[in-house]
Amino acid sequence: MEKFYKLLGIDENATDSQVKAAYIAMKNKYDPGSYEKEDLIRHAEEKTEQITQAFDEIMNSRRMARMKNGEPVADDSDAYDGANSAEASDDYGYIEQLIESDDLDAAEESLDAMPQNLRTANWFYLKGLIFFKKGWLEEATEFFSASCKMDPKNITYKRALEQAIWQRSGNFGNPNGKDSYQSMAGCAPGCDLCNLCGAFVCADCCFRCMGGSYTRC
Amino acid sequence: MFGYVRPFIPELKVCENEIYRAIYCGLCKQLGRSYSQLSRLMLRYDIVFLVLFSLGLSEENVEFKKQNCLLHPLKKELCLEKCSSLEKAADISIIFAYFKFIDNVRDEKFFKRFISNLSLLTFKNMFQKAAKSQSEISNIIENFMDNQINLENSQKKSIDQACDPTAKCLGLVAQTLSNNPKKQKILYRIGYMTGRYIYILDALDDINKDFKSKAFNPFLQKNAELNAEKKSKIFENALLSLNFSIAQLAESFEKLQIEKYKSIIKNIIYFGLRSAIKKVFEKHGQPLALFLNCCCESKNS
Repeated sequence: MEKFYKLLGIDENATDSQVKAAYIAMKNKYDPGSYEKEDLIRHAEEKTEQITQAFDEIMNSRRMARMKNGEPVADDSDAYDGANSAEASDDYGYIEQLIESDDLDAAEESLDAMPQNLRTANWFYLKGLIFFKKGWLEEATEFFSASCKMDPKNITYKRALEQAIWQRSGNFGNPNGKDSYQSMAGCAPGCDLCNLCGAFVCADCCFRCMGGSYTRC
Repeated sequence: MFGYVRPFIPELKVCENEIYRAIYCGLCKQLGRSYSQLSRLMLRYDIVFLVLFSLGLSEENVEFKKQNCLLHPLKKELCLEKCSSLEKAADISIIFAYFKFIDNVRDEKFFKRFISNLSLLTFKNMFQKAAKSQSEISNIIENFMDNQINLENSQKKSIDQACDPTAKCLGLVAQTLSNNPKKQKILYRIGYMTGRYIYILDALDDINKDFKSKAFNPFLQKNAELNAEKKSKIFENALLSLNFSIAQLAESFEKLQIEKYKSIIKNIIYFGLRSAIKKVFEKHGQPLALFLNCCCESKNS
């Protein structure tokens, strides 16, 4: 079970809606439709399968646990967060679908129509996501940061913000570097000044063994 | 908008540099062939960037030949021969140039306005020819001009809003390079982020000029002072936006399946754009220490 949680990048104490949010975010990330290279598509498809499996396993096991404890089991797992937010998260599901299908205008319209008191951290995250997809990177960063302030524990919001900060400070790819496409063109790996000096010292040592020296000392 | 999208030569292989220059020369010659000798002055680096994508994505076989040129009459240089990518790029150059003159007539005063009016007259026939063969692109750019005017007259403007018309315009132009919807989506994002980068860097570069002439600049508020402290704050914040745009551009580019000229495009995205940022920042007294993150930086800066 632990590996499923790891796959979605959340810990076992996450609420159902957090699991769902992480699942949707991961699914978006590995959407095979947004890749073109064949090996990337294959990788994305594998990942999507794994993620879906992990999500199903987690949700099923939670449902089973609840049945054992005699709690009511509803079809919609979001119902556990209280009536109000359940209503809101239903809307979010619809909006997430709109964002996924790149219907950004419609998604933004539905988000803006939501009353102020229902605007949760997820609202701010989704708004940020719309701006991000539109290419409005400044606004996106602000909304991601707002969602993180409202819900600092949520890993999806945190990741989005961390990536924005990482790229804004002049880096490419992701801060954890695992899935990044970091490929600095033309530059040999580790070809920086420190390595250059190190290599020079090494070369000098070898040269000295043979009786010569690059340096005068 | 000149020269912000160029390769960082010290990181290019010698053969890549030769190919890049050959494409540049080829576009210059194509402008001469399609239009007139005068139109060769409209050569721009960002259009060469577009040509790299267009050549990289097309199946057409292209030829390079050594040729003479007005600029270097004694030595023959490698030059890209006539091909459909170059013809399209030449049309786009003329359309961009024409709208730039219209923009100048609107913005500038006295002498420069006169010059722009004169150029409009000379380029009118060329523009009509270009717009006829590239009606889609001409519509995109005309639309962009309207959006830009609306934006400058509107009250509330964030940086994102200010960049949007330029970015969208380049996105839509880039989109026309492919018929495959998947590729189009990626190309739109590449164009959008390139446009964003160009717009922000251009606005930064013009900040002193715009402040003096009280022209529109997204980084300046109306009637506000511009002191050294404020200026360095503006540059500091703008750098974050520029970095983010380039990183997003790189991310989209890595998703695009393109085989030819990949290393040259990579050089532009990963080094060239940042080297242009560095130049603009240095020009305005905001030096950036070790910024390009490559072997050549310490030698060449």
